[in-house]
Amino acid sequence: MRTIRLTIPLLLAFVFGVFGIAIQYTAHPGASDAKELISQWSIIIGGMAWVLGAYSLIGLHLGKMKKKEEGWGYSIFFFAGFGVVVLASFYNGGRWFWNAQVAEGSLYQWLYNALFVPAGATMFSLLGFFIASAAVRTFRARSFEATLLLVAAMIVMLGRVPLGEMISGYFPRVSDWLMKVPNTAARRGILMGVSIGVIAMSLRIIFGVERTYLGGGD
Amino acid sequence: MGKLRWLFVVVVGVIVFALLVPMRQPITPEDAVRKVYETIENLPEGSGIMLAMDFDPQAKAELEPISLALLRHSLGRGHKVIGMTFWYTGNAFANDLFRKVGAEFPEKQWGRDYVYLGYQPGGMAQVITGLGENIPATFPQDYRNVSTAAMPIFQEVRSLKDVDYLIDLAAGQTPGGWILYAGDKYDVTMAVGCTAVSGPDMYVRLDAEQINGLVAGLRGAADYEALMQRPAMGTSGMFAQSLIHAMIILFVIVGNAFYFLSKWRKHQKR
Repeated sequence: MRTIRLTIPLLLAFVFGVFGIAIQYTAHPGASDAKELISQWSIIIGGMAWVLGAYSLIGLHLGKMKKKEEGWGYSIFFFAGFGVVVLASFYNGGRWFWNAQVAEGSLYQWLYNALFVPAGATMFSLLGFFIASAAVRTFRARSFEATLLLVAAMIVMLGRVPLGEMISGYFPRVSDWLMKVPNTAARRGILMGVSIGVIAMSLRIIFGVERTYLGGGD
Repeated sequence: MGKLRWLFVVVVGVIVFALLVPMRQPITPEDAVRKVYETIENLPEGSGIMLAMDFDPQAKAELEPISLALLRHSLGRGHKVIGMTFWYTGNAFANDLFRKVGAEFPEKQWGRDYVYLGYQPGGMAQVITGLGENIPATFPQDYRNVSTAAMPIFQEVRSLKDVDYLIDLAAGQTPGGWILYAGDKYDVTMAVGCTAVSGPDMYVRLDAEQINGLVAGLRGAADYEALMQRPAMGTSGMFAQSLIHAMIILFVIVGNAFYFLSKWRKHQKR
């Protein structure tokens, strides 16, 4: 059992990790073929993840309903929504699911265009109301740093719209400088730190030091 | 919540007013947007352009106008346009955009001048590496379930190595993956179109010349439309955005005025 759960996954991670790095630095035509083959395998394995995801999601909601956990009623809506969308996409307006293209005028297309698209856009547009509320309640000049941030935010907000340009030509210029200099400097530091972390984590996985991706147990 | 309700009513009122009574404002395109426009404009006719439509309807307000402007410009210049997505939830939406713009160019043919490939699972590294080796092998069928192997567009644009310009239209973190696995590795010239919130993240990429241009938010779309001299959704939303930004600044000022007033009162009581 230990061999299946630990040794083989660690060995696979090591072999594919080292091989994956090596083929990036090889100009041999065999390396190009190997890259193509591995990428196709990964795409197939990635497809399996959808099945696993659906299984896990259904299990989670069933568990909630069985135990009558707080908010279990929402799980009914999950099953209703999930069921309707899955059935509609399987039926696909009579063309069935093996035709990958969504059939014109099908229930699935209607659900997507009439429910999903406007609901998604509405969720994102709520951000405007959150910002308006935050502007009144939380953006306070409590310290020097907070004041600096507040002033910079106001300049960028005015510099990013034509109104700022109409008030003064300095707004777009100062806004541009703020984005290109202090913003870039801070982001670069974060990005480099994250990138070094990713390299370190990848090496830890390849050499079997990091094992949390194997799940629980030994 | 009681007082906030009135605040929200004001926000809705201002937006509705600005959309119903639009006012033309001067738009001076940013350099980063101009670079994208000039790259597409100066590429020889028939160049390969890949549009990665990595967003879903949540980012519709910002990324739809950018996508439409880029698609119209690219097809109008006679380039070969290939679309795909890493966002499954935006798959049908992206296809609609390709179909909509395609219909504006009746002389252009799906599969010959433009094609939307759809979604492919498997992770960015694997899929982009696959595209770098062979696009039809990575997407054996397009969104319409038609085999890509015999499509004329892929006789000319076989892999990422044949793509002259790659633009990631992103609502999330996909530009990092595209830059890493396509831009840097296959030396493809890249640009990014993104939501205004993601814009500041992209200046690092711009500064490092990993991307040559950036179209961020509704303002980016308006800038691009101004360059194309074809006002559309981006331009029409600028007045509303101007008013909302001004209103939020006013809210911040009023909020701070009350904050300092209450602080001063407390100080007086002591």
